[in-house]
Amino acid sequence: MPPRLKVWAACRALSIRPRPLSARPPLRCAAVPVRTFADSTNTTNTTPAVPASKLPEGYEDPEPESQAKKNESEHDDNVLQALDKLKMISYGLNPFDPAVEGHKYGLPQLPLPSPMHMKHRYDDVVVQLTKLIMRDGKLSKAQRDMAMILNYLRTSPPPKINPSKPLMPGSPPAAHLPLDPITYITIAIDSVAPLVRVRALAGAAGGGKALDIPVPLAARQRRRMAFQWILDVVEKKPSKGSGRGMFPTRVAEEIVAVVEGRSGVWDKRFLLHKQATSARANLNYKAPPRRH
Amino acid sequence: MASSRLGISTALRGVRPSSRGQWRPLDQQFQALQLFNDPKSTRCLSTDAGSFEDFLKTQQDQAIQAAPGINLADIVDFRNISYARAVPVSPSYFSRQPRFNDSYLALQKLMQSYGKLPVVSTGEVERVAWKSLVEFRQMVGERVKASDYVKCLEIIKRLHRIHPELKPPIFVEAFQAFKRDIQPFTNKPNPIRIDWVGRALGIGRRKSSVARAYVIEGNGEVLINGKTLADAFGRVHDRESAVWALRATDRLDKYNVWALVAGGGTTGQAEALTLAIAKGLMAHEPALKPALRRAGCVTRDMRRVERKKHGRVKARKMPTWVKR
Amino acid sequence: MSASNCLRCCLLRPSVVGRAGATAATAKASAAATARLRQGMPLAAAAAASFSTTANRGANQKPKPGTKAAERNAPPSIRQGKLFTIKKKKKNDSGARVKSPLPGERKAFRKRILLSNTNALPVPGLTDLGAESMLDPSNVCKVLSLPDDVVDQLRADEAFKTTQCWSMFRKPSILIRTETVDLITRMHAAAKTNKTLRLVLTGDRVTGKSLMLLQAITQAHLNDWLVVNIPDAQELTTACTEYAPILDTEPIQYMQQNYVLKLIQAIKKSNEKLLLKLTTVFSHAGLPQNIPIKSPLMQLANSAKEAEGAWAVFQAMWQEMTAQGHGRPPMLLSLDGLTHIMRISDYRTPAFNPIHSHDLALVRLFTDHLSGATSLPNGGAVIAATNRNNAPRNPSMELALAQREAEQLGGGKDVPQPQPYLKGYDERVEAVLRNVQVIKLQGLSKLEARALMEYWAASGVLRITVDEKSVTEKWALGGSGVVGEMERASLLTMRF
Repeated sequence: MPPRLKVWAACRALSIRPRPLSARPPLRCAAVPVRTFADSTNTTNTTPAVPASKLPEGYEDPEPESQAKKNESEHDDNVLQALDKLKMISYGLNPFDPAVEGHKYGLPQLPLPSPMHMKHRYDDVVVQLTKLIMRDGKLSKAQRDMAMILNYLRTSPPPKINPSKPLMPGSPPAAHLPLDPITYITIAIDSVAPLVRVRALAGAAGGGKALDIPVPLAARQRRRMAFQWILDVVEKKPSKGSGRGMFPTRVAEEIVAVVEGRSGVWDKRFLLHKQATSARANLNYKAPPRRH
Repeated sequence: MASSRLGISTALRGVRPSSRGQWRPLDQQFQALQLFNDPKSTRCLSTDAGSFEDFLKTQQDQAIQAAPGINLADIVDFRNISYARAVPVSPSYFSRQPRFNDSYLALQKLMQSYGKLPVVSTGEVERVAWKSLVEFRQMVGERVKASDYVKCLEIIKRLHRIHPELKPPIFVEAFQAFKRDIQPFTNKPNPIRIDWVGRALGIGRRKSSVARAYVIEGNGEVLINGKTLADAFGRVHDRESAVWALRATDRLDKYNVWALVAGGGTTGQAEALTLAIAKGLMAHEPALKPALRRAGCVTRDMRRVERKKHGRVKARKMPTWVKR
Repeated sequence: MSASNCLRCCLLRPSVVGRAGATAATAKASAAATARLRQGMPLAAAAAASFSTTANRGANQKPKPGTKAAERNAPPSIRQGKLFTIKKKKKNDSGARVKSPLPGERKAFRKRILLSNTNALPVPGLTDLGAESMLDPSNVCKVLSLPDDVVDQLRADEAFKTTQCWSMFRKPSILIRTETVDLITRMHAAAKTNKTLRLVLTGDRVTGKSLMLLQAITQAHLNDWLVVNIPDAQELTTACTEYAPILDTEPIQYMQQNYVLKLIQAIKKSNEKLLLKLTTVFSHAGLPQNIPIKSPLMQLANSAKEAEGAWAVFQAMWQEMTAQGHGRPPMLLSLDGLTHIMRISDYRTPAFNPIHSHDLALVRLFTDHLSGATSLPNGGAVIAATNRNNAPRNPSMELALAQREAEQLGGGKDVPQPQPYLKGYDERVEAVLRNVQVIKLQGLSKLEARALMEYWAASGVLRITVDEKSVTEKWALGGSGVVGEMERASLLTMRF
C-alpha cells in the first residue's frame, strides 16, 4: 500500500521534527560488531557501547587519531538518535524492534555489484567459453576444465609477444598477464577473433552462383568463432600426459600460443579478413524485391 | 429516467463534502484537482447510458426485459406521458451485447467523472485478478468482442489506480463484475517467526528438492544434513549457491545454518537451500529483501522437468524418421 | 638369491602367467596331445570334439525357404526402399600423423612436480624454517618456507604430491598448525630419550595428512635424522612390482627387489650427507660387492646397482643405520597410505592363495616398528598417514584408530566396539594398531585459515581483501576449514 498518505508519513512532514527521519544515520547498536552466540544466555545484542578489550580480534578502530573529534560527533549523534527514538515512541512504535529497523548489521549498498547476483557470478567471457567447452551438458566438468585453464595461465611464464601479431590495443604488458588469467584469456580471444564473417548469398551472383558478402560480427559472435577455431586446433593436438587435466592443458597451451603469435588460428583470421576485403564490393548488394 | 440522471450528481456531491471534511491537507495538496460539477445537460438521448445505479439495477434484475406494454385504457390524462410506446429498460436493449454495453458505458461514465483524481504508481496498487475474456463471456452469456473487452479492462485498470483513500465506494460494486471469483493475491504467506531460541525456519524448493534451513545468529558454521558444506556438496559452485544469500549480504560470519534437504540432485538441493536460507535471513532482517532480490535469492525458480509425451522419445524428441 | 630367480616366473601375476603359457596346466595338456599322436588319432578332431559344433553346422546349412532366416539372407525386393542405415564414420587420415609420446612419458608428465611459480610475487617477510621453528608454539599460525637443500631432500623422498598446490607459489612454504607443533614436540621428546614415537596421522579427505607427514620429514632432515620414507604404500600391495619369496622364512615372506632398489636410491639421495659421514660397523656376507668394515654407508648403498641383491643391501643398510652405540642419529620411518598395507594384498602364492600385506618383507619391517614389536635403538619416530581418496574399505583399521583416539581422549565408555555382525575384521591389523598414538586432523581454525589466506594474497594468487568476512566465507566453503577444500574454493575457481 502507498506509504505516502499514511498518517505517520504525514506527521513526518511536520516542521517541528528536529531532523528528517529518513536521513537518520544507522543506529549505533547496529554498527557495533557484537554477536550473540547460539549458546550464550545473554540475548540482548543492543548494547550501545562495548569496551575495546571485548571487541573481537580483527576488529580495528578505523581512525584512532581523530578519536576526540569522533567522540564529540558521536555524542551529538547519540543525542539525536535518542530524540529519534523518543519520537518513535510518541508515534507508538517500538524503537528497539528489529522489524522497525529491519536489519541488524547494516545494509549492503544497493545496487549490488553484478557478480553478486547468483546467476552472474562469473565473468561473462569465462561463462561463454565454459559453455563452449561443455560437451553433453556436463557443465560441472566444463567449469572444472575452465578453472584448470585459468590456473595453467597463472603458472605459465609471461608470454613473449610477437610484434607481427599484435594483441588488442590497450592490453596490459605481457608481464601483467599471468597473474590476471581472466584478462589473459579475454585478450587472447579478442585479439584473434575475426571482425567479419563472409556470408555466401545463394544465387545472388547470377547464374546460380553464390555471392560473398562480408557481414560484421557482434562481440559475442566474434569470441565464439575465435574459441571454436582454438578448440579445433586443440582437438588435433596430441596430449602429453594422461588424466583429466590434459584437455585443459592443451587448451591453455594453445591460448599461450595465440598470445605469442605461434598459433595457426591467426592464419585463419588473416585468411578470412582477406576474403572479406576482396568481397567488399558486394557490400552494396541489395536483394531484389521478391516476386510471387 | 429523470431521477436516475440526477444520481451521478448526487453521487459526486456525496464525494466532495466528505473529502473536504476528512482530508483537508490532501485538498491543499491537490488544489489543481477539479471535480466535475453537476451534469449540465438536462436532456437525455436514448443512446445515452443511464447512471451507474441504473446499471446496477438492471444487473440485479438479471435478464433485461422490455418495459410492460402501455394499456391505453388505463390512461386518462395524456399530457404527462413522455413516450407513446413501451421503452426498454436498458438503452442497449437492441444491441447484441446489452449487458456488456451497459457496463461499458457505465464505466466510461465513471471515467469521465473520476478520471482526473490522483493515482498511485503501479507498484503500489492493490493487485487484483481480473476476469479473462472467456470467464466474462460465460458470466454475461454474450459474445463480447475481445477488443472491446480489452478497452473495458483498460478503463477499469485506470480507475483502479486512483488513490485508495479517494476511491468512491461505488467502485467496489462497479468492479465486482470484472473481478475473478477467486483472488489469488489475497493469499498471503504466513510470516516466518523467530522461535524462542532465535531460529528462523525458511523453506525453499527447486526442481524436485525441498530444503528446510534453520538460520540462527552465530559465527558462520553451516551444517547440511549433519554434514559440513564441503561434505554435502562436492562442487564448489554448489557450495557457493547454497550460502549465496549470506554471502551477497556479507553475513556469512554472522549466522549459523542448520539445514535439512531432500530430493533431487546436487544443483536442485543447493539452490533449494539458497531460497530457504534467504527466507530465514529475511525473517531476521526484513530490510535485506531488496538486496536479496538483486542477488537472485528470493524468486522461486518454477521450472521443472518437462513431461514426456506419447509419440515422442522424450519430452520433445521425435523418433527417428524411417522411410518405411 | 639365484634360487629365487627360477621361482619368479611362477610367481608372476596370474594374468602374466596366462600369457606366458609355460605353466603346469598347459604342460599337462601338451602331454595328453602327444599321447594321442602316438595312438594315431587325429589331433584336430580330438580338439574339436571337446567343443560344441552347433554354430558350425548352422552356418553350413541352407535355410529353408519361407523361414525368417531365408528372408534375412534373400536379396532385397525391388519394392523395398533403401533402409535407413548409419554409415560408419571414416577415420580422418588427412592430417599428418603426430608423434605419440614415448612409453613412460605420459606418466612422467602426470607425476611431475613443479615447486615454483615465477609469476607469483615473493612474499615479504617470509622466513625459512629452522631446526627449532616447528617446536615453537609462537610460530603457530605462521607460514614459513622450506630451505632449498631440504626441498631437494624432500623431492628425493617424494614427499611432495601432485595434488598439492606447490606449483602456484614462488617458494614452497608450509603453514604451522597447532597439530604440527604437537607432532614435532612428540618426535623430539622421543628422540631425546632414545624411544620410538609410533604415531598414525588420520583425518578426513584433504585435511593435510600428507602435508603433516611432509612437515615431520622436514623436521627430521633439519635435525639430521636418517629418513626412510615410503611415499605411496599403494605401490607395494597392488601387485604392480615384482615379488619373490625369501628363503628360510616361516611363514614365507616376500621381497620386492625392484621397489627396494628404488627406495635405496631415494634414501641415498635424501640422506647423502649422513651416509657419507657414517661408516659401517658390521661385515656383511652375500652382498653384490664386498664392503669392508669402516667404509662409508654411501658405499654400501652404492653397491645396489640392480634389483638383483637389492634386498640384501637394504637389509645390510638397515642393520647399519640402526646399529646401537655407534653414534647413529635418530631415524624417521614414515609411510603414506596406511590403508593400503592394512589389507590382503593383490599378490598370490604359488598355490594361488592371497598374500597378506604383512607377509611382504618391506611392509613387515614397517608394521613391526609401528606395532612396537621392534624399536629403533637410537630413538626416532615411525609415522604413518592414512589416505582417504582411493582407499580400500578397511573396517579393522578404522575401528582401531577410532578406539585409540577415544582412549586418548580418556573416554572409558565411549570407546567404539566392533560390530558383532560385521565381517572383515582382521586380527593382524588390530595387533599392529593396538598401541599407537593417533593424531586426527580436522579443519583449520579461523586464525590459521587467515594466516594461510594472507600468504595466498601476498603471493598474488588470491585477489581479494583478506578480512574477517572473506576468511569466514572461504572457511565455510571449505567445510569448516578443511585446508584442501579451502584451496579448491579459493585458488582453483573460475573467479578471482
